[in-house]
Amino acid sequence: MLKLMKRYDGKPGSMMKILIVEDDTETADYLTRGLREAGWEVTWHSAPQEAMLTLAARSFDAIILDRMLPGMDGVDALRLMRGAQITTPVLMLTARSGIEDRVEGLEAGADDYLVKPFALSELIARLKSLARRPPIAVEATNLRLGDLHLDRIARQATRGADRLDLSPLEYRLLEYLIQHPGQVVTRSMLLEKVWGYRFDPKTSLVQTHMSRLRAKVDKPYGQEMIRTVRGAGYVIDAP
Amino acid sequence: MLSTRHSILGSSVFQRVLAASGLFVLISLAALWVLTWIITHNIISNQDDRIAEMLAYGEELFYGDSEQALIDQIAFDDGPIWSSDEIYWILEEEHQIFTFRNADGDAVAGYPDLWAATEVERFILPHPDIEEEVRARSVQLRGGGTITVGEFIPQRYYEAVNLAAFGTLAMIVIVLPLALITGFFLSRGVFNRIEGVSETAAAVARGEMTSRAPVTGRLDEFDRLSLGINQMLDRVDTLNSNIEAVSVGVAHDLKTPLANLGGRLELIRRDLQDSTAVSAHVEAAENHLSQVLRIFDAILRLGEVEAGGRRAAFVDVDLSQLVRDLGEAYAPVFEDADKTMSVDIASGVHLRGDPELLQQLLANLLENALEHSRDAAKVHLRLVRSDTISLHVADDGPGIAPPDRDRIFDRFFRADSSRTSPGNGLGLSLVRAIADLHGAQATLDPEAEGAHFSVIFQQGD
Repeated sequence: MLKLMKRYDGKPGSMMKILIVEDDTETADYLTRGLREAGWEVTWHSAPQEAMLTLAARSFDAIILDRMLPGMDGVDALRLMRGAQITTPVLMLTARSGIEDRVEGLEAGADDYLVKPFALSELIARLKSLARRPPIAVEATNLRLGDLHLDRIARQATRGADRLDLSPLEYRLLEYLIQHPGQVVTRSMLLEKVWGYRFDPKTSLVQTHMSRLRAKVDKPYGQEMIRTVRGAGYVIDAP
Repeated sequence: MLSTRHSILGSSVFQRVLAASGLFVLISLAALWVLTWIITHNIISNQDDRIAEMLAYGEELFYGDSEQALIDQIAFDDGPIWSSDEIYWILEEEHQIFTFRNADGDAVAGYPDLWAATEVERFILPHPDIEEEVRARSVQLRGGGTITVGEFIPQRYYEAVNLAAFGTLAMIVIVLPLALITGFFLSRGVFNRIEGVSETAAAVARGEMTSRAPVTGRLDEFDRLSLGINQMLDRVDTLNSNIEAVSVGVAHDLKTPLANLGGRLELIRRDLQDSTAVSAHVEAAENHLSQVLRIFDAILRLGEVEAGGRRAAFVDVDLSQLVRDLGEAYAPVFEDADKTMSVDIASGVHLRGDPELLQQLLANLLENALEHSRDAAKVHLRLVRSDTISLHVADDGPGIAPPDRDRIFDRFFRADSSRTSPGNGLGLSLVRAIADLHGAQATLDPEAEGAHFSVIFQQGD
C-alpha cells in the first residue's frame, strides 16, 4: 500500500516536510515511521512549546497536531500558531469523535480533522491534499487534466470533443478529483468534501457513484483516468 | 422490637420533639414567672405607696394640728391603744395598722406590738393568734416620737405566687411526660414509614433489585417518597437491563470479528513465507478490525446523542434538501441491489436540528431498508408536512415479525431473520436516539405490510 502511495507522489524530487506534535510516543512512532517510509521528512515534538520554537526557525509543508497535549490543549496551541502568523496547513488528530470538538478545531484554524484510530493511508492522502492545496486554484473557472475539461461556470464536463452527461453529484465528484490530480483521494474524504457526510455508510455508497462516474468518464475512451487504489481510495491522472 | 424501640428513642424526630417540648416548657415558665413578678411587684409597690401616704397624713396631723388630733384619728371607740382583737378586723378589711409612740418609746395610740425601722420591712406581725406577714415603716417625729404604719400582705400576692409555683410543677409533671409520649408515638409513626424505605434501600444494596418501598395509598409525603424511590428503582432497573443487553451485545458482536482477527493472525504466522497469502490475510484482518471499530463508533455516537449535549449545536436545517440529497445519494445503491426507491418530498420543510445527525438518521433507515427488504423490493421515501413534519421510509416486505416489533429499536437487537446479514443492531437504536434528541418520535407502523418506519417531528417552522 505504501509503495502505491509513493507511486502517486507525483514529483519525486520534492520531499514533503511534516511536523508532528503528539505526546503519545507509540502514535508518534507509528506516524513517523509510516511517513518516512512514504519518503517524507518528519520532525517530531511531544510538547507544543518546542514545536513553536521549531516552527519559528523552519518551514513545513504540513503539521499534524494532536488535540490533547500535555500542558496545553491542541486547540490553544493552534490558536497560538495562527496568532504568530504561521499559516502552514494543520491536520488535527483527536481520540474523540464529538462534533463540537471538530467545530472547535476547525474554528481555531485547523484545515482538516481526523479521528483516531485511522489508517495511515487515510492520513497520507489527507496530508497530501492539504500540503498541495493550490492557493488560487479554488478561483479557477476552468479545470483541465489531459483531455478532460471542466467548465465550472456551466458546471459542464467534456472529454475530448464529447460533452459528458453527468448528474450534479457525479459532476461534483469529478470536480473534487480533478482538483487533486495524482493524489489518492479516500472514500471518507469524498464523503466529507463532496457529500458533506460525516458518518460511515455501511453500504457501498461511494463505490456505486464512482463506478457510475467512471462508466461515463473512462469507459467509452479506453484510456483510464480514474483508478482505484486498493484499500486506500481513488486517484485521477492524465492518461 | 427492643432494638426498634431503642432506635426510636435515638431517632431524630423523637429528639426534635423532645427538644421542642423542652424549649416550649422553658419559654412558658419564663413567661409565667415574669408575669408573676410583675403582678407581685405591683401589689407590693402599691402597698408601699399607701404606707407612705398614711405616714405623710400622720405627720401632717401631728405638725399641723396637734398630737391629740393624731391620737384621735388612730383611736377606736374603746380608746387609743388597739387590742389584739381589733387586728382581726384590720386583717379582714385590709386596713392599715397604726402605732404612735412618744419620745420614750411607749405606745400612745394604735397597736403597741408594731415596730418598724424607717425603711420598709417585711415581717410576721407579733400577735398571739394571727401569723400573717406585714410590710411596715416608721417616721421619726420632731420631739422624739414615732409614727409606724403597717399593712398585711394581701392574699392576692400569695395566690399569684402559688399559682406560678403550681404552674411550674404542672409543666414539669404533666407537659414534659406528655411531650415524651407524643414524641414517642409521633417518631414511631414516622420511624416505621421511613424504616420501610430504609429496608428497601438496604435490600436493593444487598442485590434484591426487585424490592420496592411500601406505599400505603394515603398519598402523603411518605407515599410520595416511596413512589419517587420506586420510580427511580424502576428506571435503574431498566437502565441496568439495557446495560446488560448492551454488554452481552457488545461481547457477542465483538467476539466474532475478534475471533476472526485472531484466526487471521494465526494464518499469517503459518503463511509467513508466502507474501501473497500474508497480504490477503492482512487485508482480511483489517476488515475484521474495522468491523470492531465500527461497533465502538456506533456505541460512542449513541452515547453522545443520548447524553443530549449536541442539542446546543442545533441550527436551522433545510430538511427537504437534506432528504433529497440523501435520496439522490442512495438511489443508485438501491438500483445496484435491484431494488427501486421512489421519492416523494415536500419542499421547503425546515426545522431546528443537527444536520449531521439527521443525515445519519435517514441514512440508517435507508440502509436498514436496503439490507432487510425482500429481493426486488420497492422502497418509498417520503417527507410529509401537515400539522407535524413526518419522514417515512417504507418497504413492501417481508416486514418485521410481530413479536420483534417492540424490540426493533433496542440496542443490539437483531431479528433472527437478519442474524446472517451484516450489521450490529445499533442502527435503529441510533435512529430512535437521534429522534429523541430532536423531540421526535421514531415508530414502526404495525399495520403496514412491509417495514414502515416513521419519524414524526412535533416542531413546526
